[in-house]
Amino acid sequence: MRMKRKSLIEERYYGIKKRQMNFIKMVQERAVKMKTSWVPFLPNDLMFKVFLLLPIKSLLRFTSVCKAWYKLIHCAEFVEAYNNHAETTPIILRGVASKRPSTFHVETQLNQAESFCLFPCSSGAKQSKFIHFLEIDNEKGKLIDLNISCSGSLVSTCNGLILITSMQEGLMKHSNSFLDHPLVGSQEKPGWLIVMNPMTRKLIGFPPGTLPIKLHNESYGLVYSHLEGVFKVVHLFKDKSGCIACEILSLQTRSWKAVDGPVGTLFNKLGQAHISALGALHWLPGPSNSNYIISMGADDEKFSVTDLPMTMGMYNRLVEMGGFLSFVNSLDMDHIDVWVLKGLEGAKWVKQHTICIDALLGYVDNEEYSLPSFGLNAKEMVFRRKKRLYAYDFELEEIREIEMDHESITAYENIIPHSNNLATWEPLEPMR
Amino acid sequence: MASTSTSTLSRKLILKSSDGEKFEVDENVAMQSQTIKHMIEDLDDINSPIPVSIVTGTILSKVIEYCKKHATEDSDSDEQLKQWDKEYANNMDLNTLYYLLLAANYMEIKGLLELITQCVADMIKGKSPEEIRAHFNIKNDFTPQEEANIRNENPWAFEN
Repeated sequence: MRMKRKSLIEERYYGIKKRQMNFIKMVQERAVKMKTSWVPFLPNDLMFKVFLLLPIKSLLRFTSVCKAWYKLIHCAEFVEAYNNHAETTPIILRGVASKRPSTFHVETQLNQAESFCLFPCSSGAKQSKFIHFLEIDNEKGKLIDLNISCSGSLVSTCNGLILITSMQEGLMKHSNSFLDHPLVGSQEKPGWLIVMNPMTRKLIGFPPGTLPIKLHNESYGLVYSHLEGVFKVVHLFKDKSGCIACEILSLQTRSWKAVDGPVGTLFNKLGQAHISALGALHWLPGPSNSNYIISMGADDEKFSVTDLPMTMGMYNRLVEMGGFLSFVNSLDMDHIDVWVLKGLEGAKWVKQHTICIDALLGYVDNEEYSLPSFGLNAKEMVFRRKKRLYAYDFELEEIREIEMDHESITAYENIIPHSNNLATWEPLEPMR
Repeated sequence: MASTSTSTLSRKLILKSSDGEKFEVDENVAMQSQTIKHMIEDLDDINSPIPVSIVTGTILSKVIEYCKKHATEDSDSDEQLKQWDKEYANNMDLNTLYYLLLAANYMEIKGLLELITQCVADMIKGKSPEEIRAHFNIKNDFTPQEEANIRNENPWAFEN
């Protein structure tokens, strides 16, 4: 027993490590030979550890250093490890007055990739909005223009990917009438669903799912199934019979399949924003006065109903915070309650934090502004007041303004939580 | 094995660097290295020097300096320890830092590895690809066209 253990240990420290030792000896000898003091080339596993700590901007720049670094940064193991701890960098779509050269136009790129034209060139550039991201570091905020434009709407974000629905303008004329014959066989193409990683600029397009009975009576969301390692586009829509139907597009098989929709639940209004948290998509059945949410798990693709800690009112918000679902109640004048749900089945809402309005005083003087905008990470929540953003730190129990560099956000711009990472739907090469 | 686990903290160990330099350290100092911890668990005679084969004396003395500081847990607050770590890392030249990183990795000293990795990341994160190549003596093996393509994918990443 003893002997066996010792030999195992020897194998570990004198066998496996031998490769590393030989390598380092070689480096040292080379350094001596060259009589220079250049730094040793670090082995891949150490470079891996260093790269994990780099901001995405540096990583993307370093892919151009050499082929080995390019491969390491884009290998499956690294992408997974990096994406697991990427920070929230919200995305904003905004109009930009001046035209810039070398803009990456999403729809145009898609047409080129598909080598036929779905969008007439003129309509492509007309109502373009530019993708910006909001970098927040040490209470400093900076809007970074990616010089990527798109004509469609950004409807969902998930683990580093974004979903854009780019519907053909011709469809808009139907927006007030029921689509009794939903464009089947017509010359009009309904449009395009685009999944993209704005960091790597990789994109893929799909024809949209079944057309709803009435335009906008649908909701598209993007989820990631950790179990399968697959991104999925979830489409909820009101079908001909007026029921809520659901279909799912797997980015692996690249085909749609119908699944059972939420039974026995009533949606007042489809098409409003959903929330992605706890490995599921969540919809509020109506804008207010509901006391439950409808959730669909990314793995099992099944719908369930989750009760809210109280009835949703005007002064409540649901936000994702550090992967969990958070219900923010700011009805009371002197404090804001933050409830957190850490699991779907069996888990209970826990009143995790209470923010005294005192802490917000001077910043927030109206209930309207004490509604959160997004969770920055598990420890901070960002509140928004017109053009200003404030981060509340739950540990320090302090609110601080996020100082914007150059440009500030405008009052009506939608800030969508996102994380900038190296996510992709394509299979990646293993590390070697 | 039973005898080593019941030992007191005052036991001394001798570590021997790759260039033959010997260091006498307290057992609890050396035990911060998982590699050494596993090695001495199986040693019958702990009085003979323990070879740390790939680490030179210069680097090993720095490693021991770190381990000594972190072996005495109660004396400093977390804040003081962080400050000490910062100064410790700031006093290294680049070359030392990289060899220290290799040593921390080989000796499996989690805290030191994290400290130096962060330090290296902070140092290289603002550099341009050209500076990185010069710094690590890396040959650019992309064709000009390939390099231009990568740059065009994310021009914002190349701006300051």
